[in-house]
Amino acid sequence: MQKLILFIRKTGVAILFIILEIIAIRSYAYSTPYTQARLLVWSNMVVGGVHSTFAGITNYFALRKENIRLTEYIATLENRIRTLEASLPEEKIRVDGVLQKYEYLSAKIISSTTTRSRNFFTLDKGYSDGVYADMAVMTADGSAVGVVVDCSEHFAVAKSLLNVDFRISGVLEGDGSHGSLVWSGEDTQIIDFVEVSKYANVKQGDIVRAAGFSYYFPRETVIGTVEEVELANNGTSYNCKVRLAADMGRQYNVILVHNTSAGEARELEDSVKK
Amino acid sequence: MKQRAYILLTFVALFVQVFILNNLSISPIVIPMVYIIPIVMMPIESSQFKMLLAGLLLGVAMDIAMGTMGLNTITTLPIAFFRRPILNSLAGLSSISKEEGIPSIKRLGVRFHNYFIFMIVFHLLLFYFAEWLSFDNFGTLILRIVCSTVVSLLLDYIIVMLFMKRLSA
Repeated sequence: MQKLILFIRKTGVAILFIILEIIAIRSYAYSTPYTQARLLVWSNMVVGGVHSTFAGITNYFALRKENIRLTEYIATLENRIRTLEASLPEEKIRVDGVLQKYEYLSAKIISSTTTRSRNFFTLDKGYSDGVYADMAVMTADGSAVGVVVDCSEHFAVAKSLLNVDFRISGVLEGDGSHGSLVWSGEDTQIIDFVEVSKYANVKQGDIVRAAGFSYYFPRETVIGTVEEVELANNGTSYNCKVRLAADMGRQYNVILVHNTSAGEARELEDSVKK
Repeated sequence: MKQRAYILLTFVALFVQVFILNNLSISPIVIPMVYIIPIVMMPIESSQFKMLLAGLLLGVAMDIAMGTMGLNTITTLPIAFFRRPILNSLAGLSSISKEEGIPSIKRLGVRFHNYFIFMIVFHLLLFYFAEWLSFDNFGTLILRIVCSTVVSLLLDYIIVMLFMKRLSA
């Protein structure tokens, strides 16, 4: 007991210093999304390798399920290609403007959170693999998952759709009405689709996709399906609850999408704003 | 008298930082920091616990004033905690261990400058690095550190020299 008291006396100030410093770093880290992402990148440089190993083991056990899902998806894509090929006219169409707007890259999620109000996940690819900030993260079958916010050489940190600071534009399939998608932080499978015009024909089961003018996601990216519709308090718009198409807690293999024309569009917009 | 001078020095350093330097936009690469002076000039005999407490109070106060949520505390705590070993090695404190009062040229001789410059630069390095949180644009970061350090040192010296006589009295 005396030894313990002596030890605390000797090292008390050092322990206090470490505790206070940790509290300060935590408080700073959570002050802005930027510091949070940057500090995550830093910690990933240290613990990223360990995360990769664990993710590898977890992925191994999920491989069977993943394989079945991917095979089914390949079959769906094959069918779509055949249908599209059949409907194409004989003469060549200049499609480079449409098809080459996005570049695709595959990656694995090596760690993720879904329980916080600002959730992020770490990917096993970084800028040396061609990952940039602002790249969209999608599931293999084309559902939105998040957006890359920062990257180190071999790892990238992405902001999940389950992040209260994240807001993207969505469009209602069929009707074409726009709205904003934002997570309220309550349910990890439900996202709010708000500010939808009250003249929109929105009903349960409708699919919500990323709006074409979103910089991140390609136009057809599925966000989810409408589960609940209610008129907003001001009576001028609908607020909908949308069930996410991607199961956020169970994603391993993802696709990163780079919108090659986003930079140019943003520069133009910024110049107009000035 | 000395105590009053020390309180006044603290007040002046914080006032200059919060109301003048923080509102002065000279250039994005020159952001002078003088608020660390009260820690650097704490009496030599101050215990590490006292130093840590002062570092915490100063950091929290500056975080509130600058709305930085922990950034200043992250940098003031190590400065306060490592003050004693730095003073030991750079100013040869062991030979003047019975010395009391604030670190000054009169007490430490020219070694005061080693100690003073090291403390200021150590703080600025910690601060800019914690703020930048990245080695991207490394050149800009270095330029920012160098420019800010030169201006900060100049201002720090002016403030300290103005009070040195009263503090060492």
